[in-house]
Amino acid sequence: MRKRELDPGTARELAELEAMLRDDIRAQRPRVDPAIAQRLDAKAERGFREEAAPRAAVRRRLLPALTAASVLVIGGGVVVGQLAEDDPGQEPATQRTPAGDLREAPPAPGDAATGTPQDRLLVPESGSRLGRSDRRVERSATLELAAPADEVGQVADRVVDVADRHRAIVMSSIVTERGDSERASFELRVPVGRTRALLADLSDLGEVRARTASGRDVTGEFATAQDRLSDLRAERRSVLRRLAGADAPAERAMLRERLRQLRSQIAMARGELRSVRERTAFATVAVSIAPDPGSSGPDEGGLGGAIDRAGNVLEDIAGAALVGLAAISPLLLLALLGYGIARWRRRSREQALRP
Amino acid sequence: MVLTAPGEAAEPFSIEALYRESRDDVFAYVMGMLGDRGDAEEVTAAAFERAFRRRHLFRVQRGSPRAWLFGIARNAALDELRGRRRSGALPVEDPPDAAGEGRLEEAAELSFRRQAVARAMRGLDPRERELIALKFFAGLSNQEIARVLRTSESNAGTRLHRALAKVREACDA
Repeated sequence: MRKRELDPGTARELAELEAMLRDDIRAQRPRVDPAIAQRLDAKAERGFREEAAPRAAVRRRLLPALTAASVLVIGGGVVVGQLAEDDPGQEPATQRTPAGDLREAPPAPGDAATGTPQDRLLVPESGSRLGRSDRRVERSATLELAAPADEVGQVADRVVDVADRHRAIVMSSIVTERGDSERASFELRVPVGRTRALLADLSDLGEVRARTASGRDVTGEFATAQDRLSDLRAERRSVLRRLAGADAPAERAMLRERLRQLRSQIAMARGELRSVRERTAFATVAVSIAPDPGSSGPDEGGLGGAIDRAGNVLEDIAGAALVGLAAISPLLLLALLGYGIARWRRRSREQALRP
Repeated sequence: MVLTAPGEAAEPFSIEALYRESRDDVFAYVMGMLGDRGDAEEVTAAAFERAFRRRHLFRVQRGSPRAWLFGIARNAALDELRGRRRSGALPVEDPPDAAGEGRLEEAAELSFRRQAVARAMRGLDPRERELIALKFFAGLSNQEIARVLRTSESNAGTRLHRALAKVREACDA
């Protein structure tokens, strides 16, 4: 409660007015009739238990139910929102390529027999004579990042961390220094189903200057390798049957020689097939990091870099605050709702005194 | 008269004592707000019922029990006004017959003056009449009035000063 004092002049006048008018005003004071007094005393004797106004009683009964309903509605909305979010790793890729729109496809049949990993494949929808399940696409992407000149090394380290997180293989990593600035480049091989998530996380490491994605349909190549392997195996079965029935030594020698050749050819065909599978099971991602020409390096205006870093720190703080706020938002909403209702009631009551 | 249920924990004040000492004051205040005896009786009963139900919510740090009670009574009266859309017209209670208490001329002058005060009070706006009801009908101090109206003590005093000055001017006119 505020403690400002009434100014002495006003306080003195008020005391005089009260003394002057007290008796006359109190003479206007309404008196309690004996009948009213008796009824009030009787109600007091009963503890006023029957005197709750109907509206107030209804409100009291409804309030717990309304509060519980509000909590359920707000909490349910939060849960539904969380469940409705897609797992980013499961989203189908939609990078446009020369072959057309890319969509997810189920694993190609026959791969299980050779024991290769069944990663999700990105294949073009159109331009292939084969069924959708046989499509194979060799996928690649490039990402150019910019970072403050004095942070290129740190960003490069984070690229490796991100690659580890997505089970990507760092095929090559080059860091070059030119004067006071550094540049870095990487070639990564990532399971094709994790390409989108990897690119998303890499994009967060710096300012994205360029990003491309491409795919090369190698379905025909894969089908050719499959057919060739199948044909060679069929021929081997045929030569084995003929060998079982051959009597002449010359014929047997010729068939054995043919079997030796077939073994070699089958091994080559399996190698070709395995190569296509590996090329389509993993995507190649080329990442380059260049110093941001607009940012200040170690010797170029420390104030700009400090401002940038301060901005980053503030962003991190704001992000953490948002997460915390989101966690308590249902309760906060309820509290705000309650405060708003109380305020509205107070204002509404004061309105009744308007002339 | 027992107003506390058996087995209940001790309260910071006695609701029974508060009822006994405040019943007439609450009625007078509410009557001053509503201008109708029947409504005033109902609202007075409703105010004490709420106070009885919420007695465990009273906190000494927030003021005196009387100020707390009159805050409840005020809200009950405002709810009634809001619901029934009535103006807070003050009744004109006939001043007690002073003829037997002194000389006839003095009694006549007293009656004339009090009627002037009654007329002046009717000319105030509802907020000013409420202030006067809290001060002179309910007998609250300026500090208690400030608690009831949720304002500062100095603001309550200033507004009361303004209302009384109007009454005096109207009487002198």
